[in-house]
Amino acid sequence: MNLTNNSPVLIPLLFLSTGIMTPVLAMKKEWLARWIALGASAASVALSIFNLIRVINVGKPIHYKLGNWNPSLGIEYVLDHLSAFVILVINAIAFLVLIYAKKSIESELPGKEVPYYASVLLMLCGFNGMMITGDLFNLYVFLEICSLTLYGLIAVGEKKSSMAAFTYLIMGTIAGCFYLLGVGFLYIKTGSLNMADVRAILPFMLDQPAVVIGLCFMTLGLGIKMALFPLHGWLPDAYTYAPSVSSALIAPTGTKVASYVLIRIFYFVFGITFVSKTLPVADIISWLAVVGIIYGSIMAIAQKELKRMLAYSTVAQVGYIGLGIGLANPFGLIGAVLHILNHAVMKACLFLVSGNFRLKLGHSNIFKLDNTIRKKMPWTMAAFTIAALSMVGLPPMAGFFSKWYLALGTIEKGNWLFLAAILVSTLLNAVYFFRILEKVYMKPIDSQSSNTHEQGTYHDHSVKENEETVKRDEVSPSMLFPTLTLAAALVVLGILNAIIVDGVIKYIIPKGL
Amino acid sequence: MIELIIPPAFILLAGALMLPVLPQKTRSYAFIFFSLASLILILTMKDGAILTVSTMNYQLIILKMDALSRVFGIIFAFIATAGGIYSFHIKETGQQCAALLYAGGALGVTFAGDFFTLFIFWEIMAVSSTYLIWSRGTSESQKAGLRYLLFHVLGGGLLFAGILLYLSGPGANIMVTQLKPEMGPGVWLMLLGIIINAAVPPFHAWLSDAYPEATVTGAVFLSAFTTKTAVYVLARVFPGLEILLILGTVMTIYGVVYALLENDIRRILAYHIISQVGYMLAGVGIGTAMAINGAVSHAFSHILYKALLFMGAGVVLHTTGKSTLTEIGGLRKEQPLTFWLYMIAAFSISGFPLFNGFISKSMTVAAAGEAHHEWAMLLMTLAAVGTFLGVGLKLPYFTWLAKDKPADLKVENPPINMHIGMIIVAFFCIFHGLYPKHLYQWLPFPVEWNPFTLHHFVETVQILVFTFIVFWLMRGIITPNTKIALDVDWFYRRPAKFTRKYIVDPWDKSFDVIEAQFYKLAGILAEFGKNPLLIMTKDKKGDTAYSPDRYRPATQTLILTVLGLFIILAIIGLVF
Amino acid sequence: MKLWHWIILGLVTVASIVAEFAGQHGEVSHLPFKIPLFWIWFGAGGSVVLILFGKKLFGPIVEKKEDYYND
Repeated sequence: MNLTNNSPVLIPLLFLSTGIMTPVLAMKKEWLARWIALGASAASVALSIFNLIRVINVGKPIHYKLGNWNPSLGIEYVLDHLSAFVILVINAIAFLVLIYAKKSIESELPGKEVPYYASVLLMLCGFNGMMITGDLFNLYVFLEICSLTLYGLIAVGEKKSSMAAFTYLIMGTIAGCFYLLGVGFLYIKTGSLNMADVRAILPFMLDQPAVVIGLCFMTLGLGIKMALFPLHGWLPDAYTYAPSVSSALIAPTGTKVASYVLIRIFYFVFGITFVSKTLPVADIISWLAVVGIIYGSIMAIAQKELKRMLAYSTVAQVGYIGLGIGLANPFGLIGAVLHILNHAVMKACLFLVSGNFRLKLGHSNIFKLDNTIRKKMPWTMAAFTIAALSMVGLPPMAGFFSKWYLALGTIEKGNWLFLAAILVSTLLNAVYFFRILEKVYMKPIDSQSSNTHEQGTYHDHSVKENEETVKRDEVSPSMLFPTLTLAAALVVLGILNAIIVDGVIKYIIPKGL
Repeated sequence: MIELIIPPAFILLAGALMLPVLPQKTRSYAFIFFSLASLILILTMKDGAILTVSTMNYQLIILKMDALSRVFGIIFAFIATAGGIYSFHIKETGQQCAALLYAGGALGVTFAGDFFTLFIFWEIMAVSSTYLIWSRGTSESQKAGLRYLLFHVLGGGLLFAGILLYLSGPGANIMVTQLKPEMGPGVWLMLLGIIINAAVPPFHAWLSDAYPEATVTGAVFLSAFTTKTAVYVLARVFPGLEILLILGTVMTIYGVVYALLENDIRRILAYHIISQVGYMLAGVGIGTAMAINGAVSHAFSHILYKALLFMGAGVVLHTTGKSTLTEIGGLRKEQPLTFWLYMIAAFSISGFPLFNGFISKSMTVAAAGEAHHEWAMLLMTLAAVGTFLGVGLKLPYFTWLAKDKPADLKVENPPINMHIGMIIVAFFCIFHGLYPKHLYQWLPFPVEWNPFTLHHFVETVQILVFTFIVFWLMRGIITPNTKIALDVDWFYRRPAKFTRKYIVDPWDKSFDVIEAQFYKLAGILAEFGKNPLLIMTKDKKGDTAYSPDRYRPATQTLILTVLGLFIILAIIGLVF
Repeated sequence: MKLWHWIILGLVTVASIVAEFAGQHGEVSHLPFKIPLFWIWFGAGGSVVLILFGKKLFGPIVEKKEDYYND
């Protein structure tokens, strides 16, 4: 088997096979499930890196025919800079979260490891398939694969997770249906399901109502999956009530894959002139995204619970990506793709931190955090601080650079309102993140729960006693390592962002932009 | 393979970041480790090494190695190491970090190849050095540190404004190259900003004001970096600018005269910094190869012996708690080692043969003579007389030799690392004095001048001996008093009281009013932040706090939203 | 200052004067060297001028009490 030539299909194949085999292999030895998952994930990371290097070397998109059937009858997989890049991001994050998963799953979902890991593997199969395929219907298939597993992964959480998963189920199914309807309309008009084919044929029939409606359907479907305002309603509950590992797996990846598909549809299937000049669809997306940014940030301030706050923060961050897509200029697109990377790393790190809290403190309620956590879990808090600073957008952390490109995109478009929205949201982000930092680093112990402490008695001996009795209670290395790696990655990615943009992202911009 | 070029500044900055997380016992070792690492890096980096980073519009040159920057880099890194040994006993992380940042900033400025990088490191230096003044903790150091910071922010602002103005002009790029003031007002502003950092009168008062208020160990770092990086930049950007020669010559005398009046030993040394920097400025201003060599070698030697002088004064301050000549005396019996190490530096600065001042300061003076600036030469020699009077005679005499120790003066023992640091620096003062080729090899231009001529010996010996004789005869007149000498800072310190009452206070009150209004507004926003959805749903009874269960939109709502959006999109799409 | 200090000082001075006169081989071009014992005059005169100017002339103008700047 020629590894190089078949490399595009290997990753989905790997996940599919391991996902199906896991329940069988791990029937007797349950600990095997986790190792299969880790092994598959590690292999996928290696393959993703291999793919990315391959694309960079070749320079042009690599087309791979599944089973050697020619399109449009056959299914084609396309490996270009964009897909290779996003695939690497998703798989790398998944790998790190899977390392983290062991202790968290043991504490939150005892006894359910085998089906959980199997579902995770299938979900990753779905994601990878969505990202690499060049066929519209094939994408739907993988979309459904990953959606179903996603519902399952969310539903095993705490009490309210069933409701959250059910809402997500409804909305996700609607999303899939809409997308399928859109594909159907396009198929009727163009006669092909292959993205490149459709791209070639569409310019001849852009004024047909069916094409327009098809675009609307697909946009809406993907918008739901992406949690673009106002289609985000399923997200807060889903992310909050899911188990920690699920949140950490899904939050950085799910919406990003949908954003990736949206970029594909807008820029590579319909073509940017249709989407932005002929029809103001891109503009609408960008306006909705901006409202989403502000809305998400404001709602995040109101939250008491850390995971919910992160969920609303995700709505805002997806707004950034939507804004970048909707701007339809090179800077905007660079900003959007860079933000896919940055946000995935940041959110993963933050959700891992909330998982750490849940494991050690039993809760992740913001208002119950206090000074002792600084001593109990210093490394976790250090990772949280770095991730928080990156979310706010302080250089040299990675978050600053994607916001920078987005800002440049808005300036180039001349839309000062968007620029203002970016700046205001940065301030809002600062509010809800620094609130936590202040609680953990500066709030004295017992200032809320104990009534016997008077105002003036915070002098040395009482505080010192408390400080001495607080012992280090950090999470185990398997959980700490991914958290810290992601936090360190933020700094590294920030410093190296010029290399990333120059080496990979610049080639993503389609001609004519 | 790409060679990994690490700017030495980054090593020190990384050190500053790492120090707080290291255990306390290892911090001092780490400090020395990072400084030494950067020194080794500089010594082994080849000429022409360059590191560029492209940002959106500009190509930033973060590192550019050539002879001029290397020699400054070497001495900066070396003195950071020696200072690290001297301050080994410091437990306060803040001071250690600030010192590393400060040294890192100086290295960053030295190796910067473009003006933006230079400016960023310039500002890092300003802020971190202020901390070294503030951490002394006295009320005078608070005020002096604030004045220092304001001055440096002003200077930095002028420099930045100058850079921007210069860049907006025709044919300008951001590379650090020689500029001429005819090029435009931007260049004048840059010159002004740099001159402030070089402590050129009348912009020098921050130095004599703030350095004596710094911490014992902080002052050693302060004496080495700010003014000398300014000298480096002047040598790089404005060599041969005539006005620097005039300013420099004036500076040499100015500093020396004030030093004769002062009482605080570190203030005396601070004024002598101004005087010695004058030599460097004069050398830069003359612009010939020999003059630049002289300025650079003088900077190198000066950093060594000035640091040693401040180290000695620091030991006095550390062991007695006092630093004014009127309150101390006769310390030689208690601290002979400190005394002799100080005297090595004093001999160096006075230009005694066999010490490094002899082989460096005189190069500048001779360059002045060679370039036919006889008046400058004579004035600079006169300043040398004054230098010997102030640093070599007055200061040590009244500190260590004259009269007996005041009875109530307690003298502790200094930690041994302070002496080790001093010994290391003193070693090089003597080493270069005996073997100047070791220093000359690093100078930017080839050295054709030989310091060991008969003329030179005769001149130096005669001056020194007879200055000493005059000092001895007039030592009664020189006896310090407890008065302070007003300098140009009078112009902004004296009016401070009136300015405060009639201009600043009313402003303050109006700001208070505005601030109260803002707090009210912030309160309203905070209430809003607790439950933003109150805008849409007015709750009549019960609590208004946000709770997800109360405000969760029903699934029908979500679906309707999708439907509604679809209809809107479809209408827009079909109509347009 | 002990007596032997003065003796050494005297010897050094004499040595320098001898070296000055012995070392003049006609390379002198600068004015200072044309005046014999120039540097002795310069050193002595310069220090006198500096000290007197500093302490007697300039000092009284700019010197003030230590707490001058305190409010």
